[in-house]
Amino acid sequence: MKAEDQVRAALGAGRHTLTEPEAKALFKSLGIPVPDGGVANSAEDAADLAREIGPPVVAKVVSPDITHKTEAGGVVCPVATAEDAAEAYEAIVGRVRSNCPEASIEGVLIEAFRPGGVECVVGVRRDEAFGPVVMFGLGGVFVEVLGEVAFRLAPLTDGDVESMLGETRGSRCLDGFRGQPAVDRAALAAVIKACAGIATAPGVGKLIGTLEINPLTASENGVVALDGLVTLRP
Amino acid sequence: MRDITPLVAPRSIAVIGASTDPAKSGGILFKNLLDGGFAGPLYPVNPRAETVMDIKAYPTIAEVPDAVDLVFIVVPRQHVKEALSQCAASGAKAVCIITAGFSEIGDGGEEELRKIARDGNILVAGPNTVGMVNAEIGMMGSFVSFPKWESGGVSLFAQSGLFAGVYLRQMMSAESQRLGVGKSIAVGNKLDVDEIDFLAYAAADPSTEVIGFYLESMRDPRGFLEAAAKVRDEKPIVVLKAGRTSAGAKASASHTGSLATDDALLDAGLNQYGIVRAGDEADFIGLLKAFSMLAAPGGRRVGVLTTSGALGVMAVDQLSDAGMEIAEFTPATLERLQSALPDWQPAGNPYDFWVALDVKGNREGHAVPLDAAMADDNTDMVLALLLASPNSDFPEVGQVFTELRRKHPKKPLVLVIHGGAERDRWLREIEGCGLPVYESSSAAVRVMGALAFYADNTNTHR
Repeated sequence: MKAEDQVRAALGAGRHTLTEPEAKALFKSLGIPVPDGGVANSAEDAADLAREIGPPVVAKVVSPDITHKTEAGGVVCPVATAEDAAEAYEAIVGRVRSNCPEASIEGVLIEAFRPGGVECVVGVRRDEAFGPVVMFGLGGVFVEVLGEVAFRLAPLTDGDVESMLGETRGSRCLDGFRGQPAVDRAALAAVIKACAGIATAPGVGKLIGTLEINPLTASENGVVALDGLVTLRP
Repeated sequence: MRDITPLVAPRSIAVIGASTDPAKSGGILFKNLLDGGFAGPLYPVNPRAETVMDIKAYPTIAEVPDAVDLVFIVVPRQHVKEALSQCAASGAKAVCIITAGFSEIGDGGEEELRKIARDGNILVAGPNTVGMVNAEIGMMGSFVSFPKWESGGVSLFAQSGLFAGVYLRQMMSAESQRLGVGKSIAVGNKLDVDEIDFLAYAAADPSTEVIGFYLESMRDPRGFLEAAAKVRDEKPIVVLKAGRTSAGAKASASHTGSLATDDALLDAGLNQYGIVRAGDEADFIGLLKAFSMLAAPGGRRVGVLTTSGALGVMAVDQLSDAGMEIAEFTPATLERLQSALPDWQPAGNPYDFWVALDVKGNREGHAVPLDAAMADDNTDMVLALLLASPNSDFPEVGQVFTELRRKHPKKPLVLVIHGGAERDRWLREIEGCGLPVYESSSAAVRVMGALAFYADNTNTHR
């Protein structure tokens, strides 16, 4: 589905946030790599998906009412085999039903487990005064403790993207450390540009309140969006 | 886009509240306009006087024979609304409300004033402002007693009285450092005319060369940045935006009734759009001086010349922190620099030349090395840190620096001068010939970094 149709469909259903599979589909339509995956609606489904993707996998609850999936007991990671995936399905549904009885459960997302890489955060939001603003930072301690992020106003030039990648002190991690090779900067730059692109796109741009990929892991082999949040503006 | 010419460069002025008492705000403002030699007709409005300072007075604005371009309102706050309505009825094009006591203390009825202004199609500066100066036409429209000063290429817009008030007076007084301010428009609470209006005016104004903004709020930050990015190649722009911190923003809201902007975003946006941001009032003036006096540098390679080894070392540390490079002088330059030194002291960068004063004499000891560095092909800017003392002094300081500036007009030369009584004379003579002098090596390096930032962004278009 095209990004715009997807966003309009969610808004049409009266929702202001996308579920994780919807957000991932949106990222994918923007050319941002996401792990292979699918939504299971039964334990059997979960086992089949795990076999299809090839274990190990990750299992995460899909619910429009839950933003903190781990706290709700809605995540099992990693899941080693197809049989474990079926078990994980039952466990997740059981825990979420008891922890968040009001939440509607739309299934369990089964995704390829993609460990490693440098954790980054890429986001875009529409500011009242400045319009679309793009953010980039290193994940984990850099963004959570030091609050170190680079901002730019979209649209971005190539020079803006390059300077953003180098702006924070944490950026040095992108050049490789402790024997790790440097990450694929071009792939990171492409994600930043894609986020800026949708935020400034005619039509759909104004419907995006925030779009945040956290974490986006980066390695020498490219990047992958492991989780993300998209909020919409009616 | 509105044309704010009637506000900034009016052809005629009336003052409602022009006082016969030269000690009252309305008297001082009127006297400033008279003494400034404002070129057009000047009409005092005062129902209790026949004349004000020998000029025929009118009881109300309605009786003034002309539809004036600009009216200053200097009356107690309870009469402001009525005065503004009368201005609208009389066909005035612009009004500057000096009176305080509006949104800076709460609402104060500013919405009503805005409605009158919009309905009457009147441009408004203020309320709560010290006034407006346009030295080009002799409009010294401030309630701070001002001398008339020589006009210049710097145009200021301030959401505060500071830059059309005492601080500007301090800057403009003949004894101290000279900044070429042509226009200083202080809009106080910014009820109507704002930074985007002024930017459009200054961009089109042929005598404006550099534009400075002191802001406490921004109506449309994105719109301002986009407009500023189109102007800054031709006319460098310096923005001093106060209220960076939430405590600062709160202080600002009570100061001129403004709202805070997300400062991290503003910072990022200014940087991205190639607009220089000043940190405080001294930095603001220092930057405006540099941009109005110097050309944009060709790069970041700096030649450091000093008669104090210590100042040279400190400057090199700071230049390196600021992302500047220490220039590698060409062999020809090194040869000229060596000619001013005894054999036992090798010439390099930084170039410490106190001993050159013994070798060449004070005048040539300064002139020869400075000219060599300014002429060097590997050097984009020169930082000269000098000591003005009885044993380094020479009578032709102004002449030497005038000559340096004339010979090398495209290469920025930034100075720091320390010393005693001689310093004041050096400073006057050097700034008099159009070269900026700073209080410290860090202040000088700061403006060099800003010049390099400006040069990096010039002609890079989004």
